[in-house]
Amino acid sequence: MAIPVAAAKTAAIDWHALDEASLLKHVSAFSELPERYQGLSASEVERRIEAARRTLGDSTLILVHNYQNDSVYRWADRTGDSYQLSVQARDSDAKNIIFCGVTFMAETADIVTGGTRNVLIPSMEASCPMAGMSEMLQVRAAWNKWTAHVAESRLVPVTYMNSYADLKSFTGDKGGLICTSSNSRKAYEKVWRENPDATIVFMPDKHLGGNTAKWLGVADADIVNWNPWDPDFGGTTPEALAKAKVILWEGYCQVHDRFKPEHVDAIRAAYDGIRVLVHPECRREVVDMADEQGSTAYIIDAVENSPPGSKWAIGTEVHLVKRLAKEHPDKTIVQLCGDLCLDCNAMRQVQAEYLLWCLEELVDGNVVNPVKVDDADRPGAQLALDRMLEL
Amino acid sequence: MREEELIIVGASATGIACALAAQRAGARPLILDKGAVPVDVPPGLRVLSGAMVLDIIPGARGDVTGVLFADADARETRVARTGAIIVATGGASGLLSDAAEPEAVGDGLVLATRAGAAVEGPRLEEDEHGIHLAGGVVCDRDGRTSVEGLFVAGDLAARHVDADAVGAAAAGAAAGPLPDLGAFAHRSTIDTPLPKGFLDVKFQRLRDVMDAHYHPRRVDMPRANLLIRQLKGEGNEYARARVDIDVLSFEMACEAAAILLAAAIQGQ
Repeated sequence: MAIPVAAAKTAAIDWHALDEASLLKHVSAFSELPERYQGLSASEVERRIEAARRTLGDSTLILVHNYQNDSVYRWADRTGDSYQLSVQARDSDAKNIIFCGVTFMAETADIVTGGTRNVLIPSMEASCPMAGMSEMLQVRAAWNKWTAHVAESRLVPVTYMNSYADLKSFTGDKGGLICTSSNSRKAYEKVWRENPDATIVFMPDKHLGGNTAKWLGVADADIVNWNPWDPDFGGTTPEALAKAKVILWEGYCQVHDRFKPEHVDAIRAAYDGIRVLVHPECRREVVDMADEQGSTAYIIDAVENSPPGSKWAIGTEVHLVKRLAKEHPDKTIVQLCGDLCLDCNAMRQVQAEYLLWCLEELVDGNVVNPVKVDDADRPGAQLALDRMLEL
Repeated sequence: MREEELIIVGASATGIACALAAQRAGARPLILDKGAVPVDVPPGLRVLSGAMVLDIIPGARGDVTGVLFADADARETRVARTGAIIVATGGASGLLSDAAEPEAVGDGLVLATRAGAAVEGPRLEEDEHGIHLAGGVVCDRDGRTSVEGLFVAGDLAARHVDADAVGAAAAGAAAGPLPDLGAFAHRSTIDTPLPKGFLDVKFQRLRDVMDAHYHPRRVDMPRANLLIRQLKGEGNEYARARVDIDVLSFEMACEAAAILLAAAIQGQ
């Protein structure tokens, strides 16, 4: 059997035209897309997507995350952040849901629809690296260490939406709940309202978990960082763990972790009167310095509702910032750290050609790139998500 | 940019045997290996350690013009120009937990596939000697693949090839003038190192998925494909601007696993 996997990918690269910085980025590009979809013109992709959507009609819902690039964003039936899109998936009657986001989002759509729909993701390689920073084999090992020093009834996981189904399931089984960047504060409050002595275990984003603790007035001395890769008890001590109110898992988003205090200083020096607006996945010192912080939905609303002439420096994924700048030419909208900012590589895996592939296969009756969680993970994950939806 | 007559990928026993044969045939080989230099390299052979080959750079005529490799010491990607390449990195049995050669995680399979070489039914099989790669890169008895200037040796080859024959044939292919190639290099731009032991966990996860879904039961391949692709996507994100051999090895191992899964799914 001949495998064409990467032959076409290699052929698609004009090596001599690559600039230095982009070289490595291309190493793994297009390894998944069938050869017949590579090298199509933009107009052909557009024409065929329109035709496929007409054929599929209401049977197929296209959900697109705010971080997605414009070539995909334009085809959205619904847009939003991961929370908004999971609600859209749940409330839809569509038989097929194409989730133009990353894999944990598609998993969530499969969970909230009870596995009754075809949930597809255009590229299975669109995976969030932060979600991958809390592997269950590490979480179980850590949990066993923690419960040797803290009563298990005190430990309550609060898990960020950016996690895989197995961790969501574990969270539900252990009496915890899922949260997003827009409701993490409510999630903490719910846990402590129901159990004032609870120790919250926040996974996997140490920055969102730490920022949330700070907003609620938790003292630094009551927060411990757990580094699952540190063999010496996660880099902390049993004594510190035993008295902690919050345990932060050592995970982070590579995009948001890039923003530093010096970027805030520099942008304020460069633009008189600019407001700094950041996502709470940013480092705590950056969030502390910002004028405002909030989820992607909050960021979009803040910019849209600001008067003409407003100036914004935004600390989040580059595609969203560029789109906001394009949609609001009457305002000054810049990236917080300029050229040093990263796009979300996982989101970039989803291109219009991949969407076309999924759509045309659906027209032919084939479901490519299905996302189905393990049945064993479904009840616990559903429970943890239901607790979030009650917030 | 380096210029070499013949590049050998992998300082395995097979790679060294190929290099000696090529040297006897008059070539000037350079061995690139992602690990440390083995202690038993014969004197006179040139080995660059901490040099992980990421891609074989194609020429305009379906041939090869060089390799892109990560230089661990300099934390840069570099290019070595060459007209002939032997890939001798071993098989892919290390994608399963109980393999005798855990370091054989499919780098060569990925390189050959990325270069467009014909590959035949690659699969992991177990016999009385343990787990090994069956099938592999299609080649003639001298290790010549379907890509001009690209040779394979050892477990990677879909048929038995003799290292001496491969070395001599590659030396012959390397005898012409060096191909033309633009100069470029990529420097790491992310300054946040991943935690020590991070990749050990990821490799364990990769092997857990392969153990559970690929071998020996081959159950729920679409699920396995999603999990492997997901890991590969993560690896791509970690690797995209970190010139780190462990990260790059993980990403290539995921791609090798994806190739094996694709072959298994098509064969079902």
